[in-house]
Amino acid sequence: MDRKTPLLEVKNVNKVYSLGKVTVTALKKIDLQIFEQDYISIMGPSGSGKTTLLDVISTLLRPTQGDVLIEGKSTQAMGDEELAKIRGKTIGFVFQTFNLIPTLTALENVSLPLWFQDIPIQEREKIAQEKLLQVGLSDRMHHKPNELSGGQRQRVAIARALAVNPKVIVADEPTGNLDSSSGDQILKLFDSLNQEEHKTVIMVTHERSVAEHAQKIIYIKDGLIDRIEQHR
Amino acid sequence: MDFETLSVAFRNLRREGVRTYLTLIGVIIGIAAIAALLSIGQGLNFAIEEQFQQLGTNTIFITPGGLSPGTSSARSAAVASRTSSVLHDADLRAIESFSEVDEVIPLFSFSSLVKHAAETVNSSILAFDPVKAESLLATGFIEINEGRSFVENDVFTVLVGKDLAENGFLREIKPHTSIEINGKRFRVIGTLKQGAQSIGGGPNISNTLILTEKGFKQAFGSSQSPLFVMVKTFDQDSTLSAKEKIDRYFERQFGEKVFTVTTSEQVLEQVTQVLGLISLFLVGIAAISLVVGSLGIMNAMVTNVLERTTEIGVMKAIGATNSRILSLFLTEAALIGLIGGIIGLILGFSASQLVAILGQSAGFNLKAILDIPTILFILGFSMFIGMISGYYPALRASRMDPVDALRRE
Repeated sequence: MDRKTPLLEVKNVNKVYSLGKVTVTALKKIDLQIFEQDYISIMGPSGSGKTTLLDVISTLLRPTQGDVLIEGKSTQAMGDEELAKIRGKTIGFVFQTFNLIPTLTALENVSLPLWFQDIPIQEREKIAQEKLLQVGLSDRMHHKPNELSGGQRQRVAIARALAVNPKVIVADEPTGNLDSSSGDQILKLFDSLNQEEHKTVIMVTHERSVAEHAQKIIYIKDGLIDRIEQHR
Repeated sequence: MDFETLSVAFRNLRREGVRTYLTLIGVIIGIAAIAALLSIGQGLNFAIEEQFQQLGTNTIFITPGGLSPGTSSARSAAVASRTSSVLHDADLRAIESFSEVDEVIPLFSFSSLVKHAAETVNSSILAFDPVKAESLLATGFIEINEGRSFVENDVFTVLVGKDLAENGFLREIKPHTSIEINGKRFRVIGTLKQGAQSIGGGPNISNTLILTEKGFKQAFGSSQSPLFVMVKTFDQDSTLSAKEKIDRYFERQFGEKVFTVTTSEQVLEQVTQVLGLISLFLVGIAAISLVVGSLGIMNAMVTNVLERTTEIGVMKAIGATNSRILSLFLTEAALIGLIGGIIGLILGFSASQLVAILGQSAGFNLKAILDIPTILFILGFSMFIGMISGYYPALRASRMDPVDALRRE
């Protein structure tokens, strides 16, 4: 892809929350360009706005002012339904608390985003099996989330994020609820997704050792980009 | 609504467990009540229509008393113009002479002392001409338990109702014995079955003696006035003009309307109309419990949505559109309605079957009937109730902001 068109672009974004009579400015005039195969960590103290930034980048949250572009396309005027479809195709989500659907098996959880994209069921199952194989859980396909360990659950979540073959994986504290060895496995998975499958990975964390897996660390402070560090 | 939405919705309902079951009970009670009342109502309608079919649609009934509000004054006026509002043989012969009229069948009712094996008891008596009243007998009015029914020239013969035969006297009345009615000897030719049934569930005849018209007149004299007269016309088309002629005849004879003349169709119409009103009223009451049930669905769905807020957020984040979330929750609510409807239908129909069986053993011609359109209507309606009640919670779920939903603890 043309290196000049960013995959995701945040343009002059403000985000203001109103909490009753008080208004809180969570993001101030943020400009950010994310290109294909970027590996980015967002760090900052709690309340700095790092999760808000991730939500805005991933188009889950509409900014108060400014625009977010997906592959050069403005999302400002898009309706919720259209945005949901595009987001579902472009971005895979990984959460701190895994957020698997408890009634569905691992395989069904991974198939879910494909269902939302209206992909036929046989194809869905085939893709879901591939993705579970990729994260090393081919022997756990028919287990429900409560029959899996934390690390296994997070790997199912990553397989789910990969199911629609998105260009971007967005992860909010993906190792926050895991012991260090499970956490390391997850991070290795992210590393290989970025290096071998050329996925763009954006990760929020408050641990420096985790953040250092990325090529670029963005430091957020009081809703502003404080500094950007290049690694590797 | 596709199969997968259905399967996911079904599993979600199972996950909610007790809440789903309690909600279901609310729906089941409402639907069961409606199904039971509808099936009994349909059964009654069917039974009545069947009886009228057997009776023939070319029948006119003459009963004493006017239907108009001025009945009592009409009666006293009649007393003034003619000694009383009783029908005499002359009246019956006059009616029989109308060109439309095929037969006139009077039914007599009386109460008299009856002697059996040195014991005397007061008993009610019903009498008619068995040949003329063939169509009346075809309604299942009389069913022989033991012995035989009347034949053409029977005079001093009697049929005995079941209760009267078994319990009326110290010694049971058996066929081929004889009893004394008003001083005359009558041969018992048969006893009747329990559950013998009169038109539209009328008087119980199991405590009654049944005589032929000839026998009745031998015992009580020929000037007895009938309780009730059935007039058969040659065909259905002439029934109405015959009724008008009879009405005019009574007006000339009695001055005022002291007899009610109705065609079988009119009677059927009135009966089904009243029955329809009663069942509508009862179903209306049952519907109140369904309203409570539907509020239960709404309550459960609101709770489900609140409990699954994070899940809704996740689904939205991974590409579920608002309409997908809406259909998922609507399907859940519709499923509660449908499952409740199916169970309620089965329970309600079983209950009305039980009532029908109990009723039949007590001698009523009671059936519980649910036709396919009614079943489909009830199931469709219960699903509809589910969707109506689930719409607001589902809409709330579909409009949730994904970030709010995800971050809520």
